[in-house]
Amino acid sequence: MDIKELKEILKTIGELNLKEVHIETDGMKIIVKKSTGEEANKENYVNIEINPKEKSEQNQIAKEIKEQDKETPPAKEMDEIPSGDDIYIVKAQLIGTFYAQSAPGEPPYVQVGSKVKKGDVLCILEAMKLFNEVVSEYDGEVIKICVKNEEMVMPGQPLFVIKKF
Amino acid sequence: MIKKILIANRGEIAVRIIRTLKEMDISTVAVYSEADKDSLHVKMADEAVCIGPSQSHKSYLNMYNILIAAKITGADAIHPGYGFLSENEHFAKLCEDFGIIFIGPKAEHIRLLGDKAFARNTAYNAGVPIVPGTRDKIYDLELALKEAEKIGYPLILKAVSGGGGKGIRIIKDENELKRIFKMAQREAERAFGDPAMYLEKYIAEAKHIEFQILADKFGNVIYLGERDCSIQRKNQKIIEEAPSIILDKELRKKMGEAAVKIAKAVKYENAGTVEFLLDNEKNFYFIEMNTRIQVEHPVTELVTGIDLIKEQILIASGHPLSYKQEEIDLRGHAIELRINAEDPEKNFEPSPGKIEDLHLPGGFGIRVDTSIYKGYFIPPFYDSMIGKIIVWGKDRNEAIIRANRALDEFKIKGVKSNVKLLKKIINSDKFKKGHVHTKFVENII
Repeated sequence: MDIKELKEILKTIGELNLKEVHIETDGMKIIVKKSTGEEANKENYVNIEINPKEKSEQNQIAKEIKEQDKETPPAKEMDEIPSGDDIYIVKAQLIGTFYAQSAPGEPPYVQVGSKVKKGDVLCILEAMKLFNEVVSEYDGEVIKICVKNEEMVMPGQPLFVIKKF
Repeated sequence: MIKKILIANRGEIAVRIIRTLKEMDISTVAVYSEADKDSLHVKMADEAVCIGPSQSHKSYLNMYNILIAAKITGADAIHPGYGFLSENEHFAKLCEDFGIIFIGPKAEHIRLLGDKAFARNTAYNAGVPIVPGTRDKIYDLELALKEAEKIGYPLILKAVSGGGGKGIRIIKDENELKRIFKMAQREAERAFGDPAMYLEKYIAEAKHIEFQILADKFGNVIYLGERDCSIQRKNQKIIEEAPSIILDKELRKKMGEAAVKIAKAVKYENAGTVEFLLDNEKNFYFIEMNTRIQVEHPVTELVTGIDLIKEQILIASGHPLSYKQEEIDLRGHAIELRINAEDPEKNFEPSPGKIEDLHLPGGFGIRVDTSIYKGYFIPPFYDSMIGKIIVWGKDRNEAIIRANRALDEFKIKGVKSNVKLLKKIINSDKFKKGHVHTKFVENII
């Protein structure tokens, strides 16, 4: 599907008085929910995902998102945080977005099993367009990553569990 | 005439635009990310459409989601506000293709003036002074060193496609240029997708003076006076005022006419801002033109009595300008104070979070443009500017007194703000005397 066809589809969806549209082809997924009446405000929803093979800027973004999703280690259950004298829990210092890697497409800073030294960067927390590196305070091994890539974290929320050497 | 407008933005500017649209009896469509479902602009608009997840590139920068939101709600036009897609030529072009009016200049204007080297040449050819420096784009260090020798150090290295205070470095000497050039180029390529650079002479203790212009589709262009935006931190403006106390009538006319010349040279349409540096001998130099409504537009509104958003919409609808140049009269003095959710005591660390309590200032001569309210959670995904207090006084002195009262009344709990710093600045001797330049704040903190 090319951009021209996409434009046609979008035009048609706009002109038809449909309540909900799902279109899925091999190249793209479109979801549009449209509501009428008093409650209209909170129910409208649009989202378009485009095949990463296409070349437009939009597709580049879609591609980056897919890559990020692929590379992010899956988050494990939050409630299982081990404790002990040799356990170091890295907590978020501020409200922000958790990034496991320096830029989309780059490998994550650490994974479960990574050996880290004191001062090594573990992740980035982005708050209001500023990027803050989170570093390890001990030498050790990452035994758990508590949050998903691009998840919003709150101060005090555990990010990593590190077993100290 | 336009009947329904989608506002492709969030925060205070979305609220500000909706207010004018209500007065014009135009229906409003808000768009929002998942993080913004409780935002004020969503509550105030007639309709709202969720356009994706919290991160800007998945929502407020997602052109197709925004266009389809416009289509399903039947909006005639899109107002982009500032930031996000406001200076994105592809988006402006897509709007044209979809038969939706983009409230702003044509895609072509955004493309041409977004290229700072082109903009400099346009000004030069129109007979407007530019900051001494290179007029061709520079791609390699050899040429940069050669040109730098001609201009003399210190100088400023800028990205041709940069903007908003980003992609700018002051270079002290040859060694620094050697060290930094490639890195700056890489950064520019990453941030703006363009490695082209240019050099400008560094003008010490310069003032940042910008002129608001309005241009219709019939070639009429007027200027609405200037704004002094010299109070900056890290190239980000924090206090702006109109008029500038440095300019007299004669210089204002000269600079205003220069701004009009540049707009006419590219057959510009809609609202725009022409930025100049003014050195301490009152020589002015063109720096760049912004093709959008600006954060600080309210100071111009307060001294001219003209609603700039309304004029933007009228121009986009094909109306000729509502005012002639001789009808533009500057009355009194206005100061804008930008409120940021940040902690100046902790190196300006961002401070998102829930607003536990809030009291906004009011009364004669005070305008507050904001989207925050008590109980609102300021999300960490977007800019730290959470609102603007704009004060008007019959003269600058009265405006400063009123600004003090406004800042005293402003109370926020739950997040940190820069209010104390703003007070410190407006009560400093240098600010009161108007002896401020673009490096003033770095010196005070």
